[in-house]
Formats: sequence, structure tokens, C-alpha cells
Amino acid sequence: MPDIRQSIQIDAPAVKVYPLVNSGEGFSKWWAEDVVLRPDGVDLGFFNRATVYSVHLVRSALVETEWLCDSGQEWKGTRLRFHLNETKGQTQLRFMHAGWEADTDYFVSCTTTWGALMFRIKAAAEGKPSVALFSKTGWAL
Amino acid sequence: MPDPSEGKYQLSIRRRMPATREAVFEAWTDPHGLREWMCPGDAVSAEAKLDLRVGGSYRIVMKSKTHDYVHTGVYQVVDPPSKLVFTWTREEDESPTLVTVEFFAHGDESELVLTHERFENADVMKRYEGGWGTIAEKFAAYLAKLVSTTVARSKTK
Repeated sequence: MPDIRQSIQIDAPAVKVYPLVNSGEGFSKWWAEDVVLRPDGVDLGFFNRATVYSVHLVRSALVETEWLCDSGQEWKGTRLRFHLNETKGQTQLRFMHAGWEADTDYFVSCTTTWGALMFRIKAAAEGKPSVALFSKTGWAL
Repeated sequence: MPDPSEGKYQLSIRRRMPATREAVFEAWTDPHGLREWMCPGDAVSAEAKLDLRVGGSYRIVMKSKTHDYVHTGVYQVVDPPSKLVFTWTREEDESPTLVTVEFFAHGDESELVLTHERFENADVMKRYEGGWGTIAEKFAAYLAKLVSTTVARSKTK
């Protein structure tokens, strides 16, 4: 099964990155504006909720956060892993969207999107101006 | 959801936490640390006095820029590191409710399960569901900072 992989160096300690990738509040700062906390996870809404991804935490350590995707035609059953390796106040974020069933066009487009999202995480963690890539209705480009 | 046996409402949230359940229990009951994470909605800080024993009382004040939200209650179960049960009364609310916090071990992580019951009103219950969700996320970030500090200290020894 194919995986999406990304890596980016962030000029901030891991504790600054962690809440961005480990919480719905964090997601709202770089991924999607429409975030709703559920009792056991997070819902992210896209394009007026035409698409909703539900995720829940299965690993929550400082070094690695992993979310399991509970919905989405190609996302259900896939996993979002954020691995944080801090050295001298800087953090290497290694991301993997693992467990895709097939190398589809959507898989490839998501690869592009995740690349853009990595730069939003970096900006948010470094305290630079940044908003979620997705507004409630579309792209916030 | 409605509880047909009592005709009242309850909520339950669960969340993975980045520390052992012993560390999570200790942090949950630390009044100094609590000021950083017991901050739902527009609250920016909190103050707490905790008499952590069965029959002991607590007072938590969640502070926003314009208002203090005062909560009081009495501990009914104190069972470190696995369980806390306490009554919960917000100053403006009429009836006390009941909160159970359970801590489950998952290796170097843990899971926190919080059940809040005896709500008279479904809208109030939903409001608390969002509030506790926010608190749980902030608590996880607070724990991550504690873990980071512990790791840094161990490296300097």
C-alpha cells in the first residue's frame, strides 16, 4: 500500500509543534478552519462540509502523534503520523499518511496538499502569520 | 445523551495523553499546573484550591478577560492513579452535577476518560462537552511540556 511522506525542518522546539499536530485547535491553525471536537476525536470540514474527515488519536506521545481516519472514501482506515525529532531547539517534522489502498489521482493530489500544509505547520510553529489552507468554503490561498 | 433511568443527560469524552497515567493523575491534581490548561472557551487562566481527599472540597476559578467562572465541588472518590469522582457546581447553575475522571495505562502513554452526568438540560451538556474537549487538548499540550522538560533534565545529568 502506498504512503505519502513529507519532511520539514522547523525553527521551534517540539513542544511548539506538538499542539499543532495533536489537537483540533492545532489543526484549525494550518489545515482546516472548520474543526469540531467530538467526544473521542475531531471532525474536519471542507467545502461547506461536502467532505468531512473524522479522525481520532491512537498515539499521542511528544515524539509521535498518530491519528486514525474514520471517514472518507479513500481516507478511511489510513493513518496520519507526525514524528517530531528535536535537536538544539529545532524540530525535524517527519510526516506520513500511511495505508492508502491504491496510487490514485486523489492520492497524488493529496501528496501535493500535504506538502503545502507542511509549510503552514512550520509558519504556525515559528510564530509567523499563517491561516488554515482550507477555509470553511474552499481554499484559503 | 439522555439517561432514561434518571431522565437526565450525560457526556463522556476520551483522549490519549502523552504521559504515564501516574504522571497524568499527578498533573490533573496539581493546582499550580491547572492554571495553564483548565481554560475552556474564552478563559485565559485559572486558579484552584484543591483539598484532594474524600470529602475534601475544591474551588476552581476560570478567568476570562471579562468574567470569572467559579466552580466548586467535593471529592467523592480519590483513587490514585486511576480514578477521581467529584461533584461539580458552577456558581450560576442551580443543581450540582457529577464528574468521573478515569486514567488508563497504555505503556508510556495513557488515556483519560471523563464522564460528566446529571445535567438537567441538553444544551448545557453540549456546552460542557465542547469545554471539556478543549480542556483535554490543552491538558495534553501541558503534559507534553512536562515530558519535554523531564527529558531535557535527564540529558543534562
